[in-house]
Amino acid sequence: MSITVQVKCGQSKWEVSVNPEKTVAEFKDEIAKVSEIPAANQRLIYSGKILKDDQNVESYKIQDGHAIHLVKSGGGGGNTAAKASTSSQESNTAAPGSATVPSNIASGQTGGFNPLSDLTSARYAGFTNLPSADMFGPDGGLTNMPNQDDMLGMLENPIFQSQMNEMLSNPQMVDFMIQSNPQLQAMGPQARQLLQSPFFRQMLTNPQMLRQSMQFSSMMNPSGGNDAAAASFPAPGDSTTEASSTEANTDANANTNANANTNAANPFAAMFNPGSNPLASMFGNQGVGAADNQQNQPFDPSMLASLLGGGAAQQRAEQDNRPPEERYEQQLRQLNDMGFFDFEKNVAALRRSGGSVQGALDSLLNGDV
Amino acid sequence: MASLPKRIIKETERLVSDPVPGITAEPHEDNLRYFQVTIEGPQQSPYENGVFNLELFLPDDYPMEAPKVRFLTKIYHPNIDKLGRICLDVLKTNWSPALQIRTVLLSVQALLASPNPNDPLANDVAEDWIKDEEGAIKTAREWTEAYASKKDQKSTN
Amino acid sequence: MSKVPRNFRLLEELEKGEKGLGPESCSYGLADSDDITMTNWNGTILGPPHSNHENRIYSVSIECGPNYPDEPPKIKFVSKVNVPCVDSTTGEVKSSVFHTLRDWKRAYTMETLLLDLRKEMATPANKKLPQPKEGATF
Repeated sequence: MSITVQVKCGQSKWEVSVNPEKTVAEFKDEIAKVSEIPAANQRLIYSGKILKDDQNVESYKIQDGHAIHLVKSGGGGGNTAAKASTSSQESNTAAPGSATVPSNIASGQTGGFNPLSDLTSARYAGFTNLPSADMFGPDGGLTNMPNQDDMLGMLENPIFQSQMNEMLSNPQMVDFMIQSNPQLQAMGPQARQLLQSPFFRQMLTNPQMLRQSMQFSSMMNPSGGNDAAAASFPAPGDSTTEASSTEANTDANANTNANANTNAANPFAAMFNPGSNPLASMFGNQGVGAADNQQNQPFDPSMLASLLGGGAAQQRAEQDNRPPEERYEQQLRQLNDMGFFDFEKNVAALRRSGGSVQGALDSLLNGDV
Repeated sequence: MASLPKRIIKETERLVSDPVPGITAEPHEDNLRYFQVTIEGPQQSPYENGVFNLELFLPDDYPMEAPKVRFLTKIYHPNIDKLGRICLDVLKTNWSPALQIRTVLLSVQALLASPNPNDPLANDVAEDWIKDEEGAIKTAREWTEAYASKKDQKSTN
Repeated sequence: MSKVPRNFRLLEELEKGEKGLGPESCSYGLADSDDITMTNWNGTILGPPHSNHENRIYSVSIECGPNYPDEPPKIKFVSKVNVPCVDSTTGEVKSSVFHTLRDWKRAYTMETLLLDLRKEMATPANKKLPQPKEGATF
């Protein structure tokens, strides 16, 4: 059974297979074939040990996939003069000229002369795709809220999605969110349940769902599109954003929830309202089939979702007379994504449900349409 | 040290108040993320009658990251190497935040009951296991007797 | 940040060493791959360029006691070397002289130690010190 090890030398790297019963000298011959460094000029280091030519590879307990460092012996040094003479044909390594110079330069860069070298090494490459630090404020909150387009782009970014997910799965972060928001605090244990419920998480990390509510927000409230988008996105730990959503929400309540438009512009703010049942009062009167019997559970996330989705759709339906493919564009796309391709049926189902994807799904699955 | 997340406190409390049969896990006084663990060898396995010491550590990112677990008692098993490192999917790629210390330790116990030489960590042990299962099981029994016997589990290393 | 206990910290370092994820200029691994306590380690330092150490490979032995990494490991040159912080008869790196051992921090690793020793060998004061014959050991 042979093992494959990575042989590293400066910028070069080779994968070399070897039977562990072979001697190190034989192993070096194998390496010489791919690296073109003669065996006599190879010094191999594994886990702090210099491999000795007469030992078996297996005596060093090298495992499949492990790395071995290859250091070229400096042919120019007086102490290796004897060796150098025996390998006259390997003038490239024997002479301290062309071949050894680059390796010296390379090792010089990572050597003792540049204290920052470890920081700039290739190990750290590739991390630049992560959301940049300035997106997050000094306290970790999303203070520099990008505009809506950026935001939507960001939501498509799987890294961002997983980041949101992680944030919400981290009990400390949830604690932090709750502590930094008096309204969430007032909600008591329910706040935690809500924030940690998989559905809420999915909602925050599902671009389609968010886009829908954001677009709806900006439609209802064109002047403040960006603000609404920012506010409707609960930025963890960002007190200014929390404050503004609180404000918007209080205003809305002051209007005795008659003004659905203001409320709708900020759908997420409602979730932070400690009041008895903000969602029911906000959207409940628009009664969307599936949710009707759930109105007594103020924080049921599924109800929240169908209310948001349904409420949005109905608002639109009341206002425009566009053809269904336009009017239900979002919902139809969602249904398509879920594998329902029959346009007529989808439209019929959406009409029936008042635009709620959830309701439409029910009827599609039950064969009601 | 930063205060301990509630989830860890809850899990620790439950491990004490409602222990899993055959498994103990106690946090160290000076590091509440670091647990001293014992697992009894499952019956009808080569590890029967053995008590194995392990250590478990909950990294900063737990539960987003799996706990780290290692055997402190020498054990002859194709998925556990000489340093006690364990090759177990739930500790690596199949970790999910929904799992807990308790479920992880149960999985380790289950691994003792059903070694998997086709996905080895300890290569030579796995080879023996495939070549001569009976002989390997015999060796595992002998090691259990020698290093994990209940009477002198204190002197395991 | 929580404190990573000794054994898991050493396992991390071991993995980094085995997979060759660290810099090329040093290497380290367990002296005895069966040692469940992970106490004794081997290390190598590639002599820094533009010095009398150029192209040499120095072997060291490292001992991580039960209180590592709260306390520094003991480190000793196996290959003969002439640097002021290394005891000229035993090869031990003197913890009272060498700053990385003297001002040890928990975050330091064996890699920190080896790289700092390499830097020490390359300081203007040390790089031209006469060195014993290559291959000689303490």
